[in-house]
Amino acid sequence: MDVKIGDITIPLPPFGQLIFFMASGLAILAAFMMITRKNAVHSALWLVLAFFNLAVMYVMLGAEFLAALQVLVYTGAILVLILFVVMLLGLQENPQPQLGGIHTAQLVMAWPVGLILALQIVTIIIFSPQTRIVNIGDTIGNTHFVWSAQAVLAAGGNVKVLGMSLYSQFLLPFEIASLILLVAVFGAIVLARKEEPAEVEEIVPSLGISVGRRSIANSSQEDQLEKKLLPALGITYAPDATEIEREMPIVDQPTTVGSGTTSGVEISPTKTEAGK
Amino acid sequence: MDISTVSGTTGVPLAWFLMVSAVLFCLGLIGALTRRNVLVIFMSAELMMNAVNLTLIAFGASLNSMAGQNFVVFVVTVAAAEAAVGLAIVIALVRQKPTIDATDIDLMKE
Repeated sequence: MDVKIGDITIPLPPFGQLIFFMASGLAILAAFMMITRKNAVHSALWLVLAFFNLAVMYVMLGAEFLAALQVLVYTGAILVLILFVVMLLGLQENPQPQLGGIHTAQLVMAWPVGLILALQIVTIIIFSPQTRIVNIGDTIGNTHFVWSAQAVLAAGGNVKVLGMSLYSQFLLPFEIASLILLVAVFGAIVLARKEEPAEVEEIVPSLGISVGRRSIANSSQEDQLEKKLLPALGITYAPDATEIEREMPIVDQPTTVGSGTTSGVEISPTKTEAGK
Repeated sequence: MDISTVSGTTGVPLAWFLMVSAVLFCLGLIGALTRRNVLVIFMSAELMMNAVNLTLIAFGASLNSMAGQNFVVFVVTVAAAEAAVGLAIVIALVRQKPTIDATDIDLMKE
């Protein structure tokens, strides 16, 4: 493939290499823009571009299913989730970031460290005799399950082969992955939930009575409850729990006091002892 | 340079994919080290994970093995779980203290 402009002939690399240069260049550019933008929304949108270009490279490597997965899961779900949280919180970064103290040290240290690390890895890859000669599609080593591109095509394509190996060779990890997702769903719900008073029966230690809602204990409502309840019971309020216990009538069954407004409040001697 | 005609890659050596992956990983590392916004640190972690995914797929393609692609499926699963839990943690943090600046999150210091 050559391009002729007048008398000058510019040799072009093969088509696959052109696509690779486009995708990789855009991915690196988008990643660089992602980490340098001030606005988190802009960062997220640049990251979308980087992920799309990574999907292009997955297609070039014969991983069509993973390219689709990349677009659907990463750009479709994870980044939308990140954007959702960015906009939900609505907190912008400081318009004038205070470049002082530890943050300057971070910037000064992290960029050289990261670039030197990249240089090191790239140098190792260039001078490694294995990677220099191996093209994608060549077979090196001896793998147990050999899936060359021709074998994948003959077996019905990438998606089918991936599914077959996922449900046979990697069945146990697949099931564990489903458990991880389940746990993550529970964890996300528990963490992101607003703190609401749980309907847990607890004991007010100073009163020796159990209340239906946890939020009443150790709050201002506790005082109101005491004022409301104690005259009706005929007990003089004393912060010392032992005096109450002395005056409290001993009953075998828990007595429910007040059907309407103070429902769920009950007195039981066993719980009084447990409260101590 | 020998041009492989397999699987549409048409002459892209394995080393190039590995180099792109290394550069992307290091950019993600720099982002995670320099940025102060918790959400951008989070995105940098996602970028690093994608760079590793690219390495896995490239090696899998060069070794004619499906194991790399299978592993990437699991990495994506864990990344999705991590995103859900991580963003829930961010929301819980913001409830405690309305900031997403990583240097301001020092509630356990006192």
